[in-house]
Amino acid sequence: MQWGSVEERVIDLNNERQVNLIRSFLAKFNLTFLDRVDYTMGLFKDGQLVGTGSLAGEVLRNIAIEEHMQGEGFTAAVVSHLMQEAGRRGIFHYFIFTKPATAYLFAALGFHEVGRAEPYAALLESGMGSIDSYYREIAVAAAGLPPGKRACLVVNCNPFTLGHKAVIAKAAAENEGVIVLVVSEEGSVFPFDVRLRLVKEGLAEFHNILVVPGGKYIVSAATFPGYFTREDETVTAQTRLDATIFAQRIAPALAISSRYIGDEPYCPVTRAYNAALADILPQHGIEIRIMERIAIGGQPVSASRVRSLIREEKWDEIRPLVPDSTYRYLRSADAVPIIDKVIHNQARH
Amino acid sequence: MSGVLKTAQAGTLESGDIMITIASGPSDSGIVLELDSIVLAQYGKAISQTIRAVLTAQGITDVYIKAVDRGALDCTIKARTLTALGRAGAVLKEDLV
Repeated sequence: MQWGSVEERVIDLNNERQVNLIRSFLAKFNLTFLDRVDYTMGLFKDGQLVGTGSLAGEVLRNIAIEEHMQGEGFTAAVVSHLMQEAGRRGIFHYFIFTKPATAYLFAALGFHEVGRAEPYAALLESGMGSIDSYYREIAVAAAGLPPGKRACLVVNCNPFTLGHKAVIAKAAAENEGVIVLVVSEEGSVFPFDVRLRLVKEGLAEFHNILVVPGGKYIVSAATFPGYFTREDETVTAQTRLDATIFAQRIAPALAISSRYIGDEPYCPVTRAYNAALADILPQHGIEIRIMERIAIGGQPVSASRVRSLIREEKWDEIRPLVPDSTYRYLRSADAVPIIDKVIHNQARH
Repeated sequence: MSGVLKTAQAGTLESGDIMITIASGPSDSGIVLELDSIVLAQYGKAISQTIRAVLTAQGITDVYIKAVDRGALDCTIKARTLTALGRAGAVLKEDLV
């Protein structure tokens, strides 16, 4: 151990020279430095950078140690440092995204595997709370659903339309119970609490549907790696990991026997996700049902169509595409700042 | 006494150390201890006992403790547990003197 000469330093993310140092160090490991990190530290020996790690929300990422210094406990030092920094920020649950071949290094540090998609990616977690405890809680809420066949849908609903409602209603008619998991990640123009509320209100008339937050384990920042894989592999890694976690962990915990998905003619990422689901879920005995989008006025109903109509402020054309509850919200004073965001935001979601 | 504790942490994951994270649990949950150790088979029971003994001596109940051990000695385990408790806002017996 050569601890005497090794020091831990905080990297100033506003200092271009320091950031470039980290960036070129990571490049040696085929890792890309993402700008969207909250905190970065470096291990220095005799003034030379020999190791680094970053924190992005509760995800520990970009962890790398100089090759000739591996196996001497430096990974533990980097991970400890990042967990302590997370603690100062009030974060006590951590994810690590890594390649399956290196997952064992973090397992020795008390991290438990959430899922893996060979040979692309593995997701591990540690700290307070776990995938098991999260879905155990949802399972308690799901105990109120009628017994029998149970379907699941994972939806973003940005915002909730009659298209979503039609697919979910079909699932409710074909199964005794339906669990709707609403994507919790804040990556959409409509904030999570609004999306969740509109889904709940839009489905209030059904007695066999449970609407709950999807949590950190489905379509989240944690299941979206992006940084260590080459671009073409990124989508494959993310979608296959997400699908595997659903099949191996979430579906058994909630007694789900089938998953309904809307077909996707436009978005290539969603299409890749659907392909991964169709490949992986049946291997675990979960049926996959691909639903066609319903059409109103000759065009398929989608949230993106509603958003582009909002941009054009064509409220009369939006009216027939969404449930009353969504329309009321869109026209309310609460929605003004969000409508403003939609108008000035051309992003995909 | 126990009161409501903040979530707090002490220790590291380096060899010979233990990382303790502590949070208040639901009332009447008692002491819920989750232990990970590289020497779980050999010393798991002894480590749990050491942590529980510190909590009991401090009169702490209804807590959730996560401990990740990397081969820490008893004195280290006690020290890390006490520090985590202190950071969580528990009034330690020694402080009252």
